[in-house]
Amino acid sequence: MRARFAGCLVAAAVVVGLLSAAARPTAGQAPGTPPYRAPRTLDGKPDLGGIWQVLNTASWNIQAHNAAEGVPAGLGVVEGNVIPYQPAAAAKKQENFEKRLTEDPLRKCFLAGVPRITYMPFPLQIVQTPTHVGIAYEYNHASRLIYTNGTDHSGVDDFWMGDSRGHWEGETLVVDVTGFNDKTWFDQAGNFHSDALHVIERYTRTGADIISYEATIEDPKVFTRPWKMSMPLYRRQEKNIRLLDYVCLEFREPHVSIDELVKTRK
Amino acid sequence: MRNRLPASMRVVACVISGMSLAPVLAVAQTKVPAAPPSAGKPYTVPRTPWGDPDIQGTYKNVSMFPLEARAPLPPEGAPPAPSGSKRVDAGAGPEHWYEVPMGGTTPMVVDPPDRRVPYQPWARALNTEINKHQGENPEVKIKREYLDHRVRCLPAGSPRVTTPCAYCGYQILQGPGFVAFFYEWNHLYQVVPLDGSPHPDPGIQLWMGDARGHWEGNTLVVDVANFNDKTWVARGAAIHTSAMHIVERYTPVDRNTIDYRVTVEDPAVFTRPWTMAFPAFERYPAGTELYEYACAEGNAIDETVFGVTTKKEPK
Repeated sequence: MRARFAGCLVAAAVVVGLLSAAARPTAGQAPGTPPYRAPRTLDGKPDLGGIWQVLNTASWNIQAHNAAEGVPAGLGVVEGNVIPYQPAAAAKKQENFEKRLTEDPLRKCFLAGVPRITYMPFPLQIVQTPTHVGIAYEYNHASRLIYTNGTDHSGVDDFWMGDSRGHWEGETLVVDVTGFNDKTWFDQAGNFHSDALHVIERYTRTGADIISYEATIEDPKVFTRPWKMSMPLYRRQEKNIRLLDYVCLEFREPHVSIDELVKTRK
Repeated sequence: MRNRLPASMRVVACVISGMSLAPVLAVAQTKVPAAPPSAGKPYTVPRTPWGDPDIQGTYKNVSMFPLEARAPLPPEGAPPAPSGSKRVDAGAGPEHWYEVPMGGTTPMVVDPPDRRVPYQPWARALNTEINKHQGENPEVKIKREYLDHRVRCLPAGSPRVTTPCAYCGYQILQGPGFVAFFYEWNHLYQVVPLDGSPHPDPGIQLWMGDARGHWEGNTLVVDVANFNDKTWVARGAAIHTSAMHIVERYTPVDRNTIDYRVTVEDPAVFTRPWTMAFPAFERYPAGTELYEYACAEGNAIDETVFGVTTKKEPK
């Protein structure tokens, strides 16, 4: 009886780890306070619309890290601060770290992947309909369409940003993302994954101007168990806020300046 | 259901489209231009729950159209060159872009009446020069800064993102106060607020411009400013300055088709405002989804255009 109970505990721990977000009270919320109920869209779903941005250093390193030149220090966004690499993968991560200034896919202006695109230090804009949640990202003009129309994954398995299918669980938009290639990283510190990556994102409004964002990471080729990162997305408060441009290739490609030509003609 | 090409082909297409449009379009486009909306009973545009005309859906291009007439043409409405010819003849200069295998010969420019972009002479000359650098003339050593920004995987800009191109799908989403365009090509987007808010400071320059919209009847009217000076108005190198200002009009003409009309102003480059008009969006079969278009991630222009071998993809 006792041994059996212990075995159940291991299994339960995994399940609880994955599901606890819904039950766990919001940080700073007094016990017993009912959870925040977000304003609704016309079809009755929590309204995630708006321009949001993280305020953290996860794009440099999702784990706790001290400052380095050009890199602000951060407490990390990985729960428990441990990424459970398999031994060979841990060595690969170290190699990535050493070569990060040339080998980080972002150095080549490639798409950032999911969830990394979420915590780039740039704003993102969510537009929501009953059938789609579109996310426009300032960084590199990237975008995603999350299908909330009940459709299943497309089966395509070579996407930089994955194939995203969402559904609502109470206050939370749960997005199942599969179909990744193995070419994106989680951060500039070389944390990586294989093409077996499976990401489960959870977007939950926990206040008028906050979305709690969680991403559970599964990749049996690279990690020994699923692990999770979490962070708030803050609503940008500026009245005239809009996404601007950070087009990475713009700074690598030569241009003819028509403005200059017109000036010099005068 | 998902009748599109695999993502891996997209990357190839991105490169090919700059070099030779014909083989790509043979795959991507299968339809000749839609006839003008039938003169019968007018189309009743469905409404969103909050009362806006509902133009949501997934769309593709109707057809390819050349930017302008190769020589002055009779005004809009007069019959253009005979249809059915496989290719418009080739040649150096701007015309080589008009090797369009399908759809058409009807230029997108509808005003001025001669169907030609009203460039100032210096701009016409520069435009012609730039067009010699698009990879089809082996005599020309291509200047990288002249090579189509789109082939270099830079954002297409507006209105070019709406002009027909290979592997261009469009997802339109609407909510109270906005119309959002998600473009398949190079994962671009334009979220258009409908709240009457003004453009940002003129010093702000954006690849896609700053778009602010409103409805006039069934037509979505979008005023776009805050451009940079690095994009072309359309394929065929219609250069412009950062002072360009455009007004776009999207009109659903039947359940499956959205007509597009755009007026372009830039006194530094053109002698007068000018207008393009064409059926832009044709609804995909239900259930069609856009694919990811990764462009820079697989671009081979360094090899195919400049002969430089690079290994771009990390492994």
